[in-house]
Amino acid sequence: MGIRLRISPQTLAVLDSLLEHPAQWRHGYSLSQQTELPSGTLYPILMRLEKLAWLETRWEEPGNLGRPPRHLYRLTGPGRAWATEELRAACAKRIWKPVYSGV
Amino acid sequence: MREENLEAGLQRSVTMPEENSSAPRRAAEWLLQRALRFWPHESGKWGRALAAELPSVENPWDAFRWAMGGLMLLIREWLRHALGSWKRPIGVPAGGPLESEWKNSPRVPRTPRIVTALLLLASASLFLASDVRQAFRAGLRAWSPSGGWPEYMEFVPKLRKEASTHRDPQLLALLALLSDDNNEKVRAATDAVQADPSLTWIYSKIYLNEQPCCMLHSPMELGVAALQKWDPDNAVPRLLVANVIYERVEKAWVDSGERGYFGLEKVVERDPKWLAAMDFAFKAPKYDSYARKTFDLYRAVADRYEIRAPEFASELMWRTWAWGDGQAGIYDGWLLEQGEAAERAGKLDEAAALYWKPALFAEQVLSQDQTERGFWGVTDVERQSFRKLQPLLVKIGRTDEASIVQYRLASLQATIEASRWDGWWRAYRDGWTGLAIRSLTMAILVLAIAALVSVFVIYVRSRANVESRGRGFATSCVAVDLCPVLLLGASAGLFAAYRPIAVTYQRSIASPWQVNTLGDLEYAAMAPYGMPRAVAEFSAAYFNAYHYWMVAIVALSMLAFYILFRRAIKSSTI
Repeated sequence: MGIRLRISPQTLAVLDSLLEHPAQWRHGYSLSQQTELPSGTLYPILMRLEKLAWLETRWEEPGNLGRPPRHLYRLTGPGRAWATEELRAACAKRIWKPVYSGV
Repeated sequence: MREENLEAGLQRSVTMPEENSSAPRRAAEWLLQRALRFWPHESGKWGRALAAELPSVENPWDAFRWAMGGLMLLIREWLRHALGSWKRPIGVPAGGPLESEWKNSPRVPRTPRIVTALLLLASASLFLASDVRQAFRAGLRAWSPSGGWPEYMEFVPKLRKEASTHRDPQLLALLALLSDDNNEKVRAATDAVQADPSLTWIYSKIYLNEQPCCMLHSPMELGVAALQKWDPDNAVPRLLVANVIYERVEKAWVDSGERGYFGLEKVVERDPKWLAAMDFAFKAPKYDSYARKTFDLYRAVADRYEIRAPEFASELMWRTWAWGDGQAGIYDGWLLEQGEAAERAGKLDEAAALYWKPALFAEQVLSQDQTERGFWGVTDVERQSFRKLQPLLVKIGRTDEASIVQYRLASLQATIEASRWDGWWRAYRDGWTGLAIRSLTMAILVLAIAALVSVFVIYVRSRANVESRGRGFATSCVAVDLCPVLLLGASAGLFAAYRPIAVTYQRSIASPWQVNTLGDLEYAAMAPYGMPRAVAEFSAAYFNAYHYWMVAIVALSMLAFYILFRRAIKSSTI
């Protein structure tokens, strides 16, 4: 991808989770449950990924009364390629073992 | 619109139905609702996204932890927001229409607010230097139409307060010299001398604010007697005794209804007691006007009570002139007249002796007094004596003596000429230094006010529509860009202009008394008040025109900067 960032284990966990079903939109709370990251850690990671254009976001369509529309996330095309590369590199260095993505 | 709907939906539904609520969940809802109100605009979407997940969190304690994470995120975003805002100029709010295009907008400041803040901070920090504060105070005093308030007026109350708690003899002595209250002067002087007899010399410097006959007060007469006893070989106490006699004659003369100074002089010159006292004074083996002691007293008290005041020091040294100087002047004149009379009567040796007397006394003052004041006070007397004495000595055949007098006369003339040039140079230097300090002080005042007002205007109007902000806002934008830079320049200029004065004062205070100490102190005290001769003459010719001129210069400079700046903006935006 040409861009190498210092990736924290928490970010690797989020990428791993997002790559499990790359085409599927995910909620913040489900990502938090899967990665076991608290909201104060998860959301800065999501914000950074969106800023790098590796994460796309949208709001849920309103309709479910009594609940506000939720924010949805999934990796963009370049984001998926980059995330895969990063996870592979982390695996090769033995600093990360993928749980969900099967990289 | 979509965001507004989301916001409204979130506010309505971030809370769960009452029956599902527990205390931790209610706390979580309450926290996130409050957090959303304070979320920075640029990342508000993420705050809403986090809050929208809360109803999905089933466990109440998990919900509370989720909300606490939201608070951490809020703090992080606020820090980022605060840091980011420093990069934008003042008047470009976050999320406003100008945030992305302020560089192309003509009606906003150009300088990032971090730069503006740093410039203002740097200007303010220069005022931490005592030199700059001292210069600014002196500059303000110089601008006062009445000539300002004397610096010592700020310190006399401080000395008085300290003296009431610490019965420090040196402090009391200094208070005696500077107080404007006669009773306080006399009381402080008496107390100081009682506590420390080595301060008896201050009786020679006490000036009571009464005219005429200010020495005809019991404590003063007793003081003069005590001084003569304490320092019997010095001419100054002897001159003070003559001064007391002079004032007695003066009082009798005024009481008899007579008027006129020269008439009084003639009466005094006929008084045998006064003549005897003056003869005794002129025969004294030494002359000490206690200038060094006065200076050392100031230095000790200034060190002890942390007083740093050049004007105060100079005022002290000038104000406390030795009373006997005036007596010596009258006696000199009388001796020369007597000499001329003797010469006319053919008593040439007697005439020479009479001419020698004032010259020798002047030599003694010049060699022992160690002040410039002493120099200027007696050189003229000595010159007059020698001009009469030199041809007389030739006439009576004392040619060797005449040659020495001739040489001394030439030497005096050369010294006087050199002093004239020195005086001219000092007046020139002090004039331009004073002008710089006055101008920079006024510039700092104007620029600081302009900067504060413009920042205020911009903050108040920054949320208004760009087109409706008006000319005042546009002017404020220019002022915000220019004033901090100019303010820093003016503050640095003031520091640079006053630095030589501060160094001279520090050097003179740190060193023992020398013949030029008084001149240095005078320079340190008076240079901020200086004005070039041409400007002073102009000012004298047109009432207060100088002040208007300075204000006009500052105003025109600001206008010129404004016009240039607007042109620069226009050329860059086309």
